[in-house]
Amino acid sequence: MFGTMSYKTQKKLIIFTFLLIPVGLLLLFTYYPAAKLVFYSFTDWDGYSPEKPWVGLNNYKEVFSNPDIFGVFTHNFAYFVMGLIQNAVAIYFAVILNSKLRGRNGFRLLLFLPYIMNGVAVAFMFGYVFDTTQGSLNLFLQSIGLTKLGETSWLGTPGLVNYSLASTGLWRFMGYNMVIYIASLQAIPRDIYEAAKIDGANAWQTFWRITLPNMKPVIQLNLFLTVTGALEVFDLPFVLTKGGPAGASQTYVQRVVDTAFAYSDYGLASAMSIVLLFFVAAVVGLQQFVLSRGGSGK
Amino acid sequence: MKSMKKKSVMLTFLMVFALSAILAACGGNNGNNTANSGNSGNSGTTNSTEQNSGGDGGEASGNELSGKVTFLTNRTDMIGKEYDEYVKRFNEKYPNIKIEFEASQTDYNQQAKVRMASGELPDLMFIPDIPNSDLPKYFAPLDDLQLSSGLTFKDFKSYDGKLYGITTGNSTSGIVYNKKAFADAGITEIPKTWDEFLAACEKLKQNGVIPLSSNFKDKWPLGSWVYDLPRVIENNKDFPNEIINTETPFTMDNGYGKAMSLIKELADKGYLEKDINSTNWEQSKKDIANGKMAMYFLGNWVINQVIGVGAESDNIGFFPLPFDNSGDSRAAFNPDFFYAVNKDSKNLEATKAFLTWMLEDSGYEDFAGFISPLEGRESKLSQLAEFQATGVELQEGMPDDPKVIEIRNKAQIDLPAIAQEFVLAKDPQAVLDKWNKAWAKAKQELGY
Amino acid sequence: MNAKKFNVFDALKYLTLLIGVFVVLFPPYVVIVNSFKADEEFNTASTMALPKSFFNFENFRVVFERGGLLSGFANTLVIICVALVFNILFGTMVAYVLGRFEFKLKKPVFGLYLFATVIPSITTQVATFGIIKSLGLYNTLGAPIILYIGADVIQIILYLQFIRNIPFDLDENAMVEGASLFRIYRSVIFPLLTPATSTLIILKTISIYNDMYTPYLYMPKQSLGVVTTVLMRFQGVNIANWNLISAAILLILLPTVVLYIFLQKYIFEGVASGAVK
Repeated sequence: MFGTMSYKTQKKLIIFTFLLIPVGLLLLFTYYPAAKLVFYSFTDWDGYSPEKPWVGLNNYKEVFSNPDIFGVFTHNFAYFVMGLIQNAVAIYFAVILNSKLRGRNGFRLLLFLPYIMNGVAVAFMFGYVFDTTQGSLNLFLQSIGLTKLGETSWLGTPGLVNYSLASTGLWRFMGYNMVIYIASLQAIPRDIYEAAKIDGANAWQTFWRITLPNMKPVIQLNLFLTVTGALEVFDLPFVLTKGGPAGASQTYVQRVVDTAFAYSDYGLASAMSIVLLFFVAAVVGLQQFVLSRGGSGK
Repeated sequence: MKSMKKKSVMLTFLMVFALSAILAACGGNNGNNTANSGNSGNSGTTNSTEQNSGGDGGEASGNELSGKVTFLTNRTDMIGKEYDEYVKRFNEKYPNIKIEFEASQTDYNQQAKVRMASGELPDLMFIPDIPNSDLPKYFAPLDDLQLSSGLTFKDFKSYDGKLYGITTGNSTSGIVYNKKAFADAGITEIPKTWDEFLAACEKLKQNGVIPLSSNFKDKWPLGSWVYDLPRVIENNKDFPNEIINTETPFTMDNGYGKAMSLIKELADKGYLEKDINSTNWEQSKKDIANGKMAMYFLGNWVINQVIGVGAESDNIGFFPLPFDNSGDSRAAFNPDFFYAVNKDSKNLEATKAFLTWMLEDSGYEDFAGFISPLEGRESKLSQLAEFQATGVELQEGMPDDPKVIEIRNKAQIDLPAIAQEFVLAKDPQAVLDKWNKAWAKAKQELGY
Repeated sequence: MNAKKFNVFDALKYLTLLIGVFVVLFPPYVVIVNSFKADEEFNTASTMALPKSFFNFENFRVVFERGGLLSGFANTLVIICVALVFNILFGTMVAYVLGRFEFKLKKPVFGLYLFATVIPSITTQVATFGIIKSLGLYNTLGAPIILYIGADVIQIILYLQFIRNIPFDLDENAMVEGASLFRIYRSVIFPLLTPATSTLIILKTISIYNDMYTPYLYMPKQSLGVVTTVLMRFQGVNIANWNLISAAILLILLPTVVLYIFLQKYIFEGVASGAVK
């Protein structure tokens, strides 16, 4: 039956039927809630009652005039720094594991292991690791003689707490980045290296002149993911510190959730979300711009 | 290169998934069906008729009541243990009522509010942080509950003369301590003034014991310091609400400043955990039980939990915190969470029957270490008798003024978090100034 | 190359690798040793110490009995399977349409999918909750399933990348032979997208298995626990036992680790090709 139709009719039918449900779901579960969010951001809604009083731009004024709100981004900064380190470590291990090495499959297997672990389980695990008096990290540091360092309050020192939390992210996702980098290394044609060898380049020169430039697009992509990831951090502080001590590890999204539910100010929380959305969109837009330029330059 | 072999493995993998998906889809549908059939009855309309028939409640009609009651609880630890036993006993009386538990962990408030927004509440739950004026919108009046005696804290969650919330249990906050740790440190008498209290702490510290377990990191254990102590110090149970009249609710010489200064003094003198930012609640109970730590400043509910991790009941004592050197002895007496019944519940009478049973017969208050929500019932907690024998005056709490709640929310004031900041700060006055400013700004914006 | 220098380099490589492996294995080690300790032993012995016996399965027994772990696994499996089938179906369908045809709304639809990746879903939950409720899916397995199908766009992005690499010649050849467009989708495009499908299966399985928020918020019913919420139940508000939690963590990690070891090759390939190029 289908085959007897002209390709033109078939095309129309396929486009309609194939898109109907998926796009419907997309609109229902992504754009409708997003539109609601925009609406709430202009109201003084408490998050549960039927009344949603209109307050115009008041919430946005509050977001931009209250220095405390953007202030929490300084906490997010730690996740960005650790994200950079994570990428550097991942590139390092990728290069090593891409060379001829005994047991490299085993090492790859182990270094990637954290990525497949359940996030809640990982958070609980690290709650244990970071405990000051009973925690395994400090017990270990003391056992190798670093007594002073072994008394550090990893999750209790404002300033340090964000780096401790972010290092959990590093632990979990380094292997993931590494596997991506290994794949991009394997995609570099062998003959370029052969040619470099003939030209007498040493290992460092080869890495700097050939390997890195060839990995550039993947590195760029991962760096952008690091930025957006750092902007949107939520689960780690949510499970491990609840934003403490005294708000020192509160991230932006955590603050949004607290504003909405602990302080019943859903309108303000919505405005904060919309502002975050614009930030992330700006970063992604920049990423598209940079990547497309990099792509055409080659 | 990535040849046939890979493809075939991949295909088998896919097929296994597809197969299990088909099986799974059936299972999934079953789940949906049962849930839908449960949802199909329209709520609301049945309310009035059921309410009438429920008037004569009690034993006689017990067998006739039927339905399913869902209970959203934060005591996830009791699911599959104590709750199972409760249901068994409850079903002896009401064989046709099915009780189902829903677990909520740390953010009960958030979960409850999201569900309130879409009118998807369980039959029985605890009241989240909402003003009392909102209670009638979500919850059924409970004035018709047939109870053997009066209720404590009846005014707390009432609105327009109707009762919407019933306390799950009450407790008084004080110092829970390990008697052996005290004796070993040479403390023979319980401290009656703040100076004596500090001296006791010093002795404990010298003896290698952590004097007071604050559980500072977890924030909520600081509640007694900021919700109870300020009004006890002020000797004014309405103090937390009277701050509505001031632009500067947090000063060094009022209840808030004094109470927070007390815990700061303990922290500065090294009488709290070695690192107050890395405390461990679970561990602390064990350490109180085994005497590595000596004291808690918490509600009496914690006593049973300390006993639960291995302490001998005889070894755990309870006395009022001497907050100054006057020798006055006062302690706060507070309700815990409040039960409430969903006004749109399809099984209103069954839910009320279960609630009545929980209050009267479950024994939950004894398990949880609370004082019964029912008036005139003696607590089985021997420590409580010991506490009251000191001649302490119990100061009952007052319901929060909705305006104060509104200002607090607007200013994002979270008292235990302020206490944390205060204790950690080099300049605590600056912390108070900062929050006074936030308070005044919010108060002005709201026009109070 | 100087042989001696080579050895120093090599030693350094191994040293850093071993440090890396140590860091990776250190936290799980603590969980493993404590999961075998009885209450008494756990309270007295050091956290780092080995258990008296690795045959003390008491904690695991308690976890199974009290935690409803089995039904947690079953629920998770159901959710993953159903969500995957529809993800694969819808993902390939959308990719086929967007990747093969020119039509007026193509750019807007494409833009909708791209922009959807930017919207932070955690902050839209009140509206999402209302939808789930009005669909009658609250407190059913349908809630997370439909959210994983409808509120996630990764599968579309993934398939769109792959379909670009399938030469148009294949479509044209099939058309010359008189195949319908649906047949081309079913017999040419769908099978050739298999590598993308395996990538999707892996990435989605990992993310659904690890998601805590969706099931926590939309299925509080006791019988509908998934592995993450079952794990969270062990950490009650006031009471928790760390040796029990360790056992629960271990039981939850075990299946994924076993699967990982057996399917490592596909997982690595999946992750590598899942990264946007």
